[in-house]
Amino acid sequence: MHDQNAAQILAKVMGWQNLESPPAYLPKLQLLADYKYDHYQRFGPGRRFIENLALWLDQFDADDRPGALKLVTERLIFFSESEFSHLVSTAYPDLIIKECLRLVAEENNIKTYLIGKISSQQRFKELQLKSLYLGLSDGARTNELRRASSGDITNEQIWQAYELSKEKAEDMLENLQKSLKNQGLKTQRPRFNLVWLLDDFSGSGNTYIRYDREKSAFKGKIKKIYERLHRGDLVDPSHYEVFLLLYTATRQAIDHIEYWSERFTSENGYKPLQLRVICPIEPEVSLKNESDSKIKDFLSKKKYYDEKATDKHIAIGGSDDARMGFADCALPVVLAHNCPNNSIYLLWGPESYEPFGLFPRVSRHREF
Amino acid sequence: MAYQTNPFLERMSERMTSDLEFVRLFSPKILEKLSNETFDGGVHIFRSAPGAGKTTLLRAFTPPSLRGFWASRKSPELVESFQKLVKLGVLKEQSQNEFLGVLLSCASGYADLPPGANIQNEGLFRALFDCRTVLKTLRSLGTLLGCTNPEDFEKIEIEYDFNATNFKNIPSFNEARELIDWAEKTERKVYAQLDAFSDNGSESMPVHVQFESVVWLREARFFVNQKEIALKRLLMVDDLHKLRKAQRSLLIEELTEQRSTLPVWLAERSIVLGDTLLSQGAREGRDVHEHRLEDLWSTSKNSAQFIGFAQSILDRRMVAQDLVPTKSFSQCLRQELDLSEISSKIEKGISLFQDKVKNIENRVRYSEWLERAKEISMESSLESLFELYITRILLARDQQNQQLSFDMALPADEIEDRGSSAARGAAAIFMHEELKIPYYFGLERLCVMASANIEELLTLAAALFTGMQNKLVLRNPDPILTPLEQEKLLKEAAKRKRDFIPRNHTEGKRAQKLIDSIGLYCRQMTFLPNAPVAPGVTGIRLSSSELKKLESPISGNLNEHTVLKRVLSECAAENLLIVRESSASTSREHGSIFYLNRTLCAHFNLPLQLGGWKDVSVQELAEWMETGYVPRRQHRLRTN
Repeated sequence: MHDQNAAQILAKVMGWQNLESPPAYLPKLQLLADYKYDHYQRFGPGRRFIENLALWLDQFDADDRPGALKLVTERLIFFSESEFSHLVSTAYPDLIIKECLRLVAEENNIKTYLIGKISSQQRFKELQLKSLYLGLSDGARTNELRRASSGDITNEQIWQAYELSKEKAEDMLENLQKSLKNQGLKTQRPRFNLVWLLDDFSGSGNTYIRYDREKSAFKGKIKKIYERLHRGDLVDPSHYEVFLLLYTATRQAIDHIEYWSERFTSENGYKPLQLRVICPIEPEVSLKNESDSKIKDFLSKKKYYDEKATDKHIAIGGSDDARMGFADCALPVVLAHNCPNNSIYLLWGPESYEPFGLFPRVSRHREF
Repeated sequence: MAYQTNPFLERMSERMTSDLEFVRLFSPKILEKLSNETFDGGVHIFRSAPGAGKTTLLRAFTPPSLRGFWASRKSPELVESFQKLVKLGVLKEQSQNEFLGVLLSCASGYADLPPGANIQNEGLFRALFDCRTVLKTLRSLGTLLGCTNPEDFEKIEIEYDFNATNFKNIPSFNEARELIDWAEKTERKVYAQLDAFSDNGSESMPVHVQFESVVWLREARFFVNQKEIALKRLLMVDDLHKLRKAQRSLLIEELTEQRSTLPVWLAERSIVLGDTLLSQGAREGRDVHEHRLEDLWSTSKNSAQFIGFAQSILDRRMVAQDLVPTKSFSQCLRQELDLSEISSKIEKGISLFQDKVKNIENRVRYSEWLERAKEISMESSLESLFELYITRILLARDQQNQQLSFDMALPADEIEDRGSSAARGAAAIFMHEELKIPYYFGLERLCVMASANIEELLTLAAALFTGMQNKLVLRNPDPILTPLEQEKLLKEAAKRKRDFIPRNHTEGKRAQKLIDSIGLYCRQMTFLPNAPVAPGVTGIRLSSSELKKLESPISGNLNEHTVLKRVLSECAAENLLIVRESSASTSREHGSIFYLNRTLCAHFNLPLQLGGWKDVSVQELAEWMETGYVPRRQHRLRTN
C-alpha cells in the first residue's frame, strides 16, 4: 500500500483530528517500519506494517486504541533478521572460543589472560576439532554460525538437528579422525569432547526440559540429547562438556532450564549442562506487571482473544489460555521470522482468528 | 520505503548531494549579490555563522556544477542560473571550458601537521597546500573536460611563461600526468612525515618557502589539442576555521602579500574571529576583502531581496519532492488571518480595551479619543482591533508625559498623527501577547525569522513542511497551513533552537542562561503599556566604555568578564546574537548592539523587526549569565 494511504488509514482509525497527533507517532513508526517491522516474514502478500497496524487497531473499541498503540510504540521488542545475525556472528568469537580458552587454561594451569600462550597449546586446536555443534530447531542458524567462525567450524562438526542417525554419527567421527591426523594429534578412537547445542530463542524453557508430574518423568530435548550422547559413540562419557547456547532467552527460561537440567543431570549421573545466553531478556520486559494504566486496561480486556488459540500445547505451559502467551510469559517480543507464542496473544494471533495478532504467527504444530 | 526524509533537511553543501541535484536546488539570486570585484585579483574572505551558504556558493563554481548549469541552459527552471553565470563571465553560451574553479577544503590533514611556527613546520604546511592545489586543479580540469580515465589526462598540456619556470618546488612539467604524479608523491611524503615517530629532518621532507601553487595557478596555461582552455581561474579554499591559528594567519598573510591577479576566495566560520567579533569595526583592508554573508541581506532593500532568494530556495525544494502535491511553498502558507478564526479574540480585545479605559472615561482630555474608539468598536474587525490597541498605547504614553495643563480634549485625528508604523507593530505584538492572535506566520515573517541564514530558513521550512504532510495524513483536501498552525510549528522549532544551545557551545549552559535573560529583559521592556520602544525591544547594547571593560577587565572581575566575552563571541559567531554597530549621538557614545536571533525572538514572543534595544552594563550581563535575569519588581522584593 502506498505509504501516504497507509498513514491516512492509521489517522482515520485513531481518530486524529489535529496536527499534533501524526508527528507524535508517524515518524517513529515509519522509521521502525522501514528499518525492521516491514520485514516480518509472516505478513500476508501486499501487507506491510503500517496498514497492518491500522487494521489491527480497527478491531478494538475506540477507547482501547490509544492503549494498544502505546503498547506498540513503547513496549514492543522486535528482533530483526540483521540483529539476530549479529547475535549469531558474535557467538563464536565471544563465547565459544572463550570457553575453549578457559578449559585449556584450566587443564594446563595457565592464567586466563595469556591468550597467546593458551591458543598456541596443541590442546586448544584439539578442542576446536573435537567440538560438536547441534542445532535444536530450524532457528539455530547453524550455517551462519559456521560461516562466522571463519573456517574454524567445518561442515563435519555441525548438524542442523540434534537427532543423529547412526550413519551420520559414524560419518562425523570418521571426519574427526582425519582432521586429527592432519593436525598430528592422537587418533585412537577419537570422540568429541565439547557438545554445543544451539537455538535461537527460549521463552519458558519448557521445550528443552520439563518434569511431567503425572508420569514422574523428565521430558524435553535435553533429556533426549543426553541419552543419545551416553550411548558412547559420539562422546567420551568420562570426558565431555555440554553447552546449551541460546542467542536470546528470557530470564524465566534461563532459571527454568538451569534448575531442571541440574536436577535431571544430577539424578542421572550426567555431566551438568552449561547454559550460555548471548542476549538475555529480563523480567522487567514482561507485561505481567505492566504499570501504565492505558496498556494495563487494554490487556485486561478478555474479549480481545480467540478461544481457538487455547489448545493442548498451551496446557503444557501450565496456563489456562494463551492470552498472556505460552506459560504466561506475557512477552512483547517478536522475532522477524515468526512471533513466539510466549508473547501475548494480541501480538501473534493467527490471521484467520478474531482478533488477529499484529504479527500473525505460523504454528509449529498441526492444528485441527 | 516508508520513511522518507524531509526535503528541507537535506544540506546541499554536503558532498553526498549529487551535482545534478545541487544544480536543480541552487538558487541563483545569491549571485546577484556578488560584485564583479570578487572575480578580480586579491584575497576575498567569506565569513558567516554555520549554514549561511558559504560552501554552497563555492560549490556553484566548481567544474561539476558548472557543467550541470551549462547542460541545463535550455531548461526553463534552470535558465536563470545559467544567465546569471554568463553575466558574471563564468560561462559562455557556446563553451563551458573557459572558467576553472578549484575548490579545496582545509577540513582534513592540515591541523594534523606538527604545531609550532618554525621554518620546517610552516614549510610542510605550504608543501601540503601546494601539492593539493596542483592536484585539485588538474583533477578539476579533468572534470571540466569530461575525463574519466587516468589516460585521458595525457591530452592536457601545460605551458609556462618564462618567469614561472623559476618555481623552486613545483616542477615545470608540460604533461599533466607527470605533475599529478609529483603532487601525489609529495602528499605521500608529507603523510609519511606525519607518521614518523621522530623528526628526522630528512632531506626528502618537502618544505616550501612560499605558497607557489597560487602563482602556478595564475601562470600556467592549459592546452587540449592545441586549444587553450580555462583562461579564467578562481581558487576557493573552504573551512579555513579548521586550520590551526598560526596556519590560518600564515595563509592569509602570505596570499595577501602575493597580491596575485588570481582571485582567491577563502571561506570560514565567524567563530574563528573569537573575541574580535564583538567589535564590529571595518576589517577590510586594501588587499583583503571581507564579505560577511549575513550582511549581504542586512539593509531593508536587501531584506526584501532575501525574501525573493528564500522563496526561490524553498520552491526549488518543493518541486523536487512529491510527498506534498504542490510546487510552491508559499502557496501552502496562508498569508492572512481569517476573521472567523479570530472573531472571539477580537471580541475579547474590545472588551479588554473597555476595561482598561474605565478609569479615564470621564477625563475630558481623552473624550474625543474614547468616542472614536467607541465608534471603532462597533465594527468587530481586525483593523478596528489594531486601532484600539494603538489608542491604548497612545493613551498610556500621554498619561505618562502629562504636564499640568488645561484639561482640553485631544483631537481624534491626533491619533493618526501620533500613531506610526512602529506603534502599529507594537499593537500587533500586544494583540499576540494578550489575545493569542497569531503573529508568526506568512512567508515574509518566516524569512525574517531565518535571520539571513539559509540553514535556519530550511530548518523552519522543514517544520512547516512536516505540518503540510500531516495535513494530508489527516485527509485535508489541501495542505495549506492556517496562521495558527504555522505559528505553532514555528514556535516549536524556535524552542528546539533554544534548547539546543547548551550542546553547541563551550559554555553552553551559560550561553543559554544569557540568551534567556536577554529574552526576558526584552519582554519586560517591550510589553510596557506605553510601548516606549515600539514595536519592541529585541536587543541590548553595550556602549564603548562597557566594551572596554570586557577588553580590559579589572582584577576583581577578571574571570567573569573573560567568560562573558567568550560567551558573547560564540553567540555572535553562531548567529544567536546579531551584532550591529551603534553610532554615537549627542546623548550617547557609540557601542555594539546585540540583537536576539529572530527565531529566538519568536520563542520569547518578541516582535521580529530589528530596531529596538536598551543599554545594559557588562556587570548586568555577567550576573544574568550566572544567575539569570530577575524582572525588576521581583528584584525589589528580594532586596527588601
